[in-house]
Amino acid sequence: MTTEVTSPRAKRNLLPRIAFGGVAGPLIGLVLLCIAFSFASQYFLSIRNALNVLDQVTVLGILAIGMTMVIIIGGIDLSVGSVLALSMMSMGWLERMAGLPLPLAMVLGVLTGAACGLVSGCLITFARLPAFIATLAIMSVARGLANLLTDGRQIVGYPDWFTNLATVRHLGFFSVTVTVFVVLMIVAGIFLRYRATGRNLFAIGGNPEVARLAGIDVRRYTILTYVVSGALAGVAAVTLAARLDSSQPSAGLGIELDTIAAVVIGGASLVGGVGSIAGTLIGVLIIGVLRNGLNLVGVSPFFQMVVIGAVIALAVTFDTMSRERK
Amino acid sequence: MSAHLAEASPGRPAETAGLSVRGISKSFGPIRVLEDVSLDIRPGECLAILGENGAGKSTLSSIIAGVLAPSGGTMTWCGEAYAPRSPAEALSAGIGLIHQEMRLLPELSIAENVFVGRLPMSGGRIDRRQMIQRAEAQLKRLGLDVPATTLVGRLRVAAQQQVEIAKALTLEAKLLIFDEPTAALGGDETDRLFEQIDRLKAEGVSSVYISHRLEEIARIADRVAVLRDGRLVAVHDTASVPVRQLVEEMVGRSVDRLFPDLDPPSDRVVLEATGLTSSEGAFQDIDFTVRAGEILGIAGIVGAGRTELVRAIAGVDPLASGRITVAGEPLRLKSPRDAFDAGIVMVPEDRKGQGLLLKQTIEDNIALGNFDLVGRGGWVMPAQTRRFAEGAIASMGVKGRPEQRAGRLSGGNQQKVVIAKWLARAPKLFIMDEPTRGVDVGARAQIYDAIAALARSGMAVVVVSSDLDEVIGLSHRVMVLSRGRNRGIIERRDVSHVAIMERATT
Amino acid sequence: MLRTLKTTAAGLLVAGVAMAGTVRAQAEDMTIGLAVANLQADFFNQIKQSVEKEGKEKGVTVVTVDAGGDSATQVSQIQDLITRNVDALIYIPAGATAASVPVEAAKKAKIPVVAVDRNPPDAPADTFIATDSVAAAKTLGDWVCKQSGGKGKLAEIQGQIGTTPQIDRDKGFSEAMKDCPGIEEVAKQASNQWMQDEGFNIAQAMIQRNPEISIFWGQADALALGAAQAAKVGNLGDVIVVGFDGDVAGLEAVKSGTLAATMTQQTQLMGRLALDSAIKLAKGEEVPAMQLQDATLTTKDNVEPFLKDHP
Repeated sequence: MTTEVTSPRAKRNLLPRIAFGGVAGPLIGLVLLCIAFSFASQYFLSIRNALNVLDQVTVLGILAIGMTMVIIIGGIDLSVGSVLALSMMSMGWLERMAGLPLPLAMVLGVLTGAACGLVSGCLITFARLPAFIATLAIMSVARGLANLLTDGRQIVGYPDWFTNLATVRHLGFFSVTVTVFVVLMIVAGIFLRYRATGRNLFAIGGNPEVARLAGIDVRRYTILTYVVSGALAGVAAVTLAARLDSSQPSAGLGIELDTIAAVVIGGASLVGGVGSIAGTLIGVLIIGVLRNGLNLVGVSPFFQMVVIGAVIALAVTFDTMSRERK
Repeated sequence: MSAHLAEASPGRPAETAGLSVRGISKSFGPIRVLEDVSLDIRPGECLAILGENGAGKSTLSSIIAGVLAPSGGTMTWCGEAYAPRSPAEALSAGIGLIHQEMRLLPELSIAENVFVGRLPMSGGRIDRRQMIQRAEAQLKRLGLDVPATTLVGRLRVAAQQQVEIAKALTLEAKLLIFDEPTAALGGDETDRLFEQIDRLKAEGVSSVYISHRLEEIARIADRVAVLRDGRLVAVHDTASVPVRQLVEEMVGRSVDRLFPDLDPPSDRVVLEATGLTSSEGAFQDIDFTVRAGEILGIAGIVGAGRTELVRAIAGVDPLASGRITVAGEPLRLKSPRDAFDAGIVMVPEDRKGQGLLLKQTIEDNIALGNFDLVGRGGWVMPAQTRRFAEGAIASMGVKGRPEQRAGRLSGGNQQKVVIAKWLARAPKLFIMDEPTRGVDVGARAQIYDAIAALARSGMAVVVVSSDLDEVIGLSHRVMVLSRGRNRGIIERRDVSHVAIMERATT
Repeated sequence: MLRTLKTTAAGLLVAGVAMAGTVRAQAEDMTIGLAVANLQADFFNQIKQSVEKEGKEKGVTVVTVDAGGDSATQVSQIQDLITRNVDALIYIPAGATAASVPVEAAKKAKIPVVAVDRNPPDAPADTFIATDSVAAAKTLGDWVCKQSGGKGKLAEIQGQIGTTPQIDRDKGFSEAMKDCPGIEEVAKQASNQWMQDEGFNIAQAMIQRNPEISIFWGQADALALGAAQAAKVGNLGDVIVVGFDGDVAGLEAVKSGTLAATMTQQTQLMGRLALDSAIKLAKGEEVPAMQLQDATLTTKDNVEPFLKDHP
């Protein structure tokens, strides 16, 4: 937390700065939460439960990667939950009804998500709709299409190997879906931190006009960001289908708000220009640990909602306060 | 007179009218920004407050206008104790503030902005006609001839500033504080503003005028108070004090010169522009050249098309027709990227809106647009960014560390960061639009030195400025624009205020 | 200041969560997990209350989780219940068709499962408790036929499409309609959430298209109540509105005459039965694979006792 940098100390402080990348606040929150739950429930502190939590946050986490980028450029993507449902249903429809091989259907499912993102991006850049409205429209359209494909019915009957992607823990640790999640997180983290393209996203969110004058093609970047967010919703859809062993048109209802909450808990600013994958990971884990821990402790479902809301407010308050103190 | 800081001793009752400030102090945490300041502002007088950035001018005016509460001290206004808790309280007491940073609502019309919070009503409804008429009358007096129904967001910065002034002038206040009102104005608009201040004086309205520009202070102020490091240094009658003394009191040391010596330019033409015409009608058929090592000044009143012209050359706005060659190579400009790939860079007029990412660090700002120079193959490593930024910071003498947020820097240092960012690209043509807007005198000299150094190193430089002294002092040649046309290019030996204004007003 | 705040907040959180933990520790040995589809629906909430009440009497700890209608959430929650080592699981599936993943996961962990209301077709639970919806809907249909004199225009508001109760209720009611040719079905539309405001909106649109509707059949009491409200707003004079479930609001409406009839499901009984079955299964005793319950046709004449003491 100490960024009191006088020149001789600067070098020494560089290491923790890189390691935590300015996410010390949310990290402290996560650690406190884990400590609290370890005392409250005998079942919480175990490798198996930790793996369960990772398993449970996979879908939220994959969505949050895309949302982080969207929020960094100062946008918002309300459509991720519906796009997830549409990708999931088109994958199922292509495999079950159109008879395509499942691996191909999986790829096409991801592309469906990307296509939705492309539409959102074009609405925002060419039709100049505010991101909130453009993605709200796509949210409704995608949810409707997802239901239309099968007239609201879910699709079941995937082969065993598909479900095994989510359920079989290789070497006793990571299932394929969790591995995909972790790899995507690492790739996105490196992209946002060490690639010029990633750094440019921060400039666009900080001030699009400054970015444009600095030679950045703001439009192209904006569209691509929404395409990536849509494609990641597609990946999350495949993951969720494997986890549920079915495709459901009602999947991901309201998950966009959890996703936004996770990103903001992780220190991103809804105004744009600020955010990090490390922070988002912590935000996602805070939400996951909270739900998991409260279930393990056996807190009433109604009280759970109260606690989760309070923790979101607290987490973001601490973050804002520590920022202002700097 | 200059030695008597407080004319009225504390025991004596204050004058019946006017504002008395007694022993005002202000601290932000451990930092003391105002220390025991005592001043009197008499009815119907214009008092200028002069000082470098950070001297406490804006803090003092904010306290008078009720924006900030003082940490200590008292004020008396019209014979009564005065301690406003909000700008609204100050306003209802008859004290208004025109902010340095514009506080306008871009999505509302000029008229609505002028009357916001006190819309004229008749019969329970807003009296639009009266509102628009009164706003337009006031705008006309300031020399801005646009319908009052125009959205403020559509106006250029200078016109927005005039709206801000019009807003204050319709307040019917008894004391108005102008915090750097002319920062964005051209000479003509400034004159109109001064006419209005004179009119207010005649009506017995007092004003406090905060500015860096000594020549303005000489023109408008009856007395001038100099602040330095939060303390009142001296109060003078404007008529009797030499400019040099004011500057020295302000910076706390002697200044010998503001503008650097210029080396003669080479004969090599860097930029050749022929028949440039704006696609939005802002300028037509403009021809000029800039040589290596030359500084070309562009002067003109607001709306003459200066900013639009340089924006088009920098690839920001589209051109309808015309030809630009850089070092003999013809250029096709579709985006700012095309321009700086060809070696043209620009420091924009609106530094906070277009030049800098205020929330991000100095190193991020400097690296932006230069990632190809910072790392290889699209990789940007923090250590390299830091080294790159440190180099740029050192070359421009920025007072700040790479990891500091750009928004925390003074105006002068911010401007240096913007210049440093582009310097690293070793451009052929460097365009500066209002390079010293909102920059204090000390830092100004450094920026002038830096601009002269750019030219000395062989770059071609274009400087757009509303400050005539700046254009004259800094340029080898001055191109004057008026109503979108080139009215002639004046050589350094012939250039003068008169020569420029003659052409600027045709 | 910030630090103090942080420490205080952390302390409070730890204390709060720890307190919840100690309360738990006093209960008896056996723990039953209850995964509810959606507590916003009164029907599920009634079962939940009944299970919890029965649990208290029997000295069994009941841990309740609520999926809020989302099957992905439910999978995670059941995973947590399994981690918590519950002795048996009562599973009220969320989502259109009951997901088999939770049942399979529980079986892998050797935890017996009681399914309530819906049963995963490809991985049935150890026992399944539900109302015999087909028979009940047929009873209701026959009553409607008699009540309307065998004539009228019928508008049907279905539940969430593809769910077991929706399919069964459709089936039973249309069987009754086959024997009642004078009633013409003029409108049929599905809802997403079985909710009252949906019922209202759907019915209002139906009335707009066809003002001569004389019978509304809502596949849940909430849907029927919405339809009744829409009929009232639309000034439809003589209209018979019937629902299904017999939840508290539905019964009150039957008493006041807003609804003509409903089929009262025995939620209290189903809750008790679910818990008993769970305890038996946990002890290794046998329980029948299907335990279908009757529903009672409830009209103004027999509603009073149900309101006092819900079956």
